[in-house]
Amino acid sequence: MTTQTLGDRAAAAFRDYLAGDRSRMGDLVDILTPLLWHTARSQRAPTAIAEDAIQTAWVRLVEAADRIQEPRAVVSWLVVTVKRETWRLMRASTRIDDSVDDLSTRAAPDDPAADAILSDRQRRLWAHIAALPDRCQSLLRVIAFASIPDYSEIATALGMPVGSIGPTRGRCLAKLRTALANDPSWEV
Amino acid sequence: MDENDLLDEVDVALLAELAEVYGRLDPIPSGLVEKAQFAINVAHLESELAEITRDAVVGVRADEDATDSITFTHPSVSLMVSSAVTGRVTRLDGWVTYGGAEVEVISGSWSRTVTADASGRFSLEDVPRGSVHFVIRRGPGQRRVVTPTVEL
Repeated sequence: MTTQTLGDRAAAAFRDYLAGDRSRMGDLVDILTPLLWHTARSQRAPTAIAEDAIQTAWVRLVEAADRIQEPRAVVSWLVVTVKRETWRLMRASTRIDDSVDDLSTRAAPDDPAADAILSDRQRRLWAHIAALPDRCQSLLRVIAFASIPDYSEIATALGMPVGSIGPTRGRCLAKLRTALANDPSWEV
Repeated sequence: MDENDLLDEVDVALLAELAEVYGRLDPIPSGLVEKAQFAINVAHLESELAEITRDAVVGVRADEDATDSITFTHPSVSLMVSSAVTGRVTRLDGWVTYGGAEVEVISGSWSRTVTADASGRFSLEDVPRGSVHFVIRRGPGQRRVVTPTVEL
């Protein structure tokens, strides 16, 4: 059981990489792929665009690595770059049916297909998430794949700062907590 | 729920449940990690490493003023640098086989970029002595070339 946060592990791997151990970039990929996948998908990118954006971000990191002075900044740097590449690729995309791949249509709360994937409790949680504003859904989706101490840094990287001192809950998580507190069928 | 409250253990548990839900609804495509790794490997190949071909140690007599030179070679570009030490700093005079290239000199957290003239010559004063490496950038679409680290 490790007490290191995602940001700690990523910074350690990136520091070793900068010192010349190229194999540590592979560890960085393992550590950050879930976070980056959900960052790209939270921007409503179709699967293919999300994959392209993530690969491009890694290439950009190799190109820019020696200009990133502080190893801890690598997580935010990648989150911002994936988001930017996702937007760039979506603008360049000629597809007009991108919304078809949107998660909210894939697993609507009353979609019987979701039964096979989610437990009752998870479906109730999902219904409350789906009712949140889009920006809150995007933020919480990304934050869920980080560690709490990295929360505020990543939220800032996404353009949604959550307060300047300490890891505060933030507006979006507060909304979700309130919704769950008002749901008599939800047990903490 | 006050948005300014510090995150508590309920928040932590809730975020973990959220990750589980999203992970089930939208799993990471199999092969994404491998694709990312492949892209990185290709990018590494595009950042070429020059070789030291002469005088691996510059100014080896660390306690004396010294002038010495070193050459880095690469299939597409070479770099020759001479170092004239004065106390704790050194002056670099260099020549790169690509006129107008940007040459970045990096020594720990210190770095400077100079642009070579049309014939590839450049110079840089007051470079701190120590472990130094160079990055040669020849312009858009061209692979940058990185040298190994040498002691100045």
